[in-house]
Amino acid sequence: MKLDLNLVDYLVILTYFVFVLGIGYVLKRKMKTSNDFLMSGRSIPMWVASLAFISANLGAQEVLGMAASGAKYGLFTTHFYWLGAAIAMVFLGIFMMPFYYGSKARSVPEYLALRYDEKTRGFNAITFAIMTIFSSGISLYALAILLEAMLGWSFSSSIIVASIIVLGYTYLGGLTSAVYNEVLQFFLIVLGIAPLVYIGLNHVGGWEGIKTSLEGTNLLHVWKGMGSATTNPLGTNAGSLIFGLGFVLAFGYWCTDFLVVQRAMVTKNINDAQMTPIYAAIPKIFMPVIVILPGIIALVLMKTGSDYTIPMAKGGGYDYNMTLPSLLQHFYPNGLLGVGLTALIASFMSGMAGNVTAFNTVFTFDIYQSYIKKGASDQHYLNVGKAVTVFGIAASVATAYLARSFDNIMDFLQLVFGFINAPLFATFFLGMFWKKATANGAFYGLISGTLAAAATHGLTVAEGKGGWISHMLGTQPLYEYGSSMGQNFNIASVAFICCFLVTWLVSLGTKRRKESELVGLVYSLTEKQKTGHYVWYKSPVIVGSLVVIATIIFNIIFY
Amino acid sequence: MENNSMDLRSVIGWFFIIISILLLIASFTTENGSGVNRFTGITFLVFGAIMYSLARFSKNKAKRPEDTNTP
Repeated sequence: MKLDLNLVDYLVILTYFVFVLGIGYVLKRKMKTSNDFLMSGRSIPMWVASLAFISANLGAQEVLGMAASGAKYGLFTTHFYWLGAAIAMVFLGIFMMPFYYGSKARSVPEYLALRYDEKTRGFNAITFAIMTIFSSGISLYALAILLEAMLGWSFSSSIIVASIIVLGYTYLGGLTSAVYNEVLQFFLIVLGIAPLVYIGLNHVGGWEGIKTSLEGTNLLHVWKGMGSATTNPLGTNAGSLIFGLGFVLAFGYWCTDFLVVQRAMVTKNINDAQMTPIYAAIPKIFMPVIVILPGIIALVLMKTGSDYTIPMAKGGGYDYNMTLPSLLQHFYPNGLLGVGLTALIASFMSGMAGNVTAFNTVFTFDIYQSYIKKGASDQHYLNVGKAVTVFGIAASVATAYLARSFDNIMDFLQLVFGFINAPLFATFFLGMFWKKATANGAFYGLISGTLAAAATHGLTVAEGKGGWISHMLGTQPLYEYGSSMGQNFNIASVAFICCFLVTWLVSLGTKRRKESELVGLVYSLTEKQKTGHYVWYKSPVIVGSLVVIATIIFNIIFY
Repeated sequence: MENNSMDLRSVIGWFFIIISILLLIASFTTENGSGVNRFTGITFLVFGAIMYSLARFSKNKAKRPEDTNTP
């Protein structure tokens, strides 16, 4: 599906590249200390941090993946927003951010060092650093594949152009440049895709037209058929969905992944840090209009006999990941086509830059400064931060080529990192809300949760995936899930429960730290903030409650 | 940081104003979809102008106390 671009389209892309590099160039003179480069001097305005908070997650997987899921699962996809993200973001703002920000930790792994010990920090920092590089590389690989298919650019040309631009603005302006560009990217993605939704809705007769076309299916419902895994397209039931996605995975990602949490940690004060994820949740609950609705429109277009169709995959069946690019090609004229394509490029670059800037902070502060060279000058750490940025981009490029050569290796690595991430929220949850949690409890909880995740995957199957332990033992898998999504939710649930129980049990039998050392790190030992003096729109509890109420209303409307 | 180095709203404003100009040019040069380009171009122009105005307004507001001290 090669696009036929003209001069105006290329000028739009060029303008975007000039602006992102220009932002980095202007910010270059502000980068005088390692704190400026890696932590934005903790001076980012709250509205900027909030939009960067969403944009850091608005990478290619989100923009292309959610449109694909919209075409496959309809409105059930909104569970990632109305059940998962919004409530977890409010929880982060109200309950967890005071500890991240108030403890003066510069990163999530550093909080683990303060609350538990160095080995827990080291485990989290090293796995996170490796994971961000692979995520960045996968983003780069996917961008190159997309540009190869849509523009006919060679794989290497796409890699070189994208990596030089991301390197340019992250090296020059550090985290501030990445954050500022994420805000620009947010507006570009939303305003670049919004016309597609408008045009698409006009073609299918608006929301009423969609309802008529999909009558008889439950694709326009959120909860209908969730009583059993066999009566909904997700292939999972309400219990697994609520606990696995709504609690473990969503809270695990939004509350502990440094890639997003970092955006709130660089604001000016604790109230801004708390309000960042809560304000971010407001546009987040409306994002399905931009990222999921196009997929539903594509489905309706195909059902109503229009000349549009989702491209076919090489191995047969629809290539759902190409839903959004194919809609852009179908509906956008030259000019707007350049805007739509730039929005897609922005989403890839946003994902890549977010990973690289999180990587350089964690590597510099949590690995280099903690284990390799302590007590060096700030200029030294600034230089290390910059060098790590170059290394991060180079490693991402290498990963992109690795992904091209060994597709299964990347799937395998993503799987392994999924196992490591799944139990992490239990470690944080117990650390922040139970003063008796010990360092050994946390460490062995994490290890056992990771092993439990791997064992669950190895003993069950879904869509032909998993079951490798059963295969090695020559036995039948213990359980077959209706979908990979259902399997993932249950793997996360098992990992969380295992980590929680092992942390609890080991903590009961090991020596805990003095309560005086945990002030500011544990909920029950920390003086509660007085928020009565804030106006209502600066109160995390009031705005957070409004977000949760709105989310509940959406769930009821689209039941 | 925003006041010292650059106001992001003005950067976003300029970006969308330039893109809107390109879209408006495209609306006159392309045969198909001129209406879509024009409509989107005008929308982007309005958005860009609002962002730029917000930045200017904020800058003027920040300067005002100093102005009153000027003899």
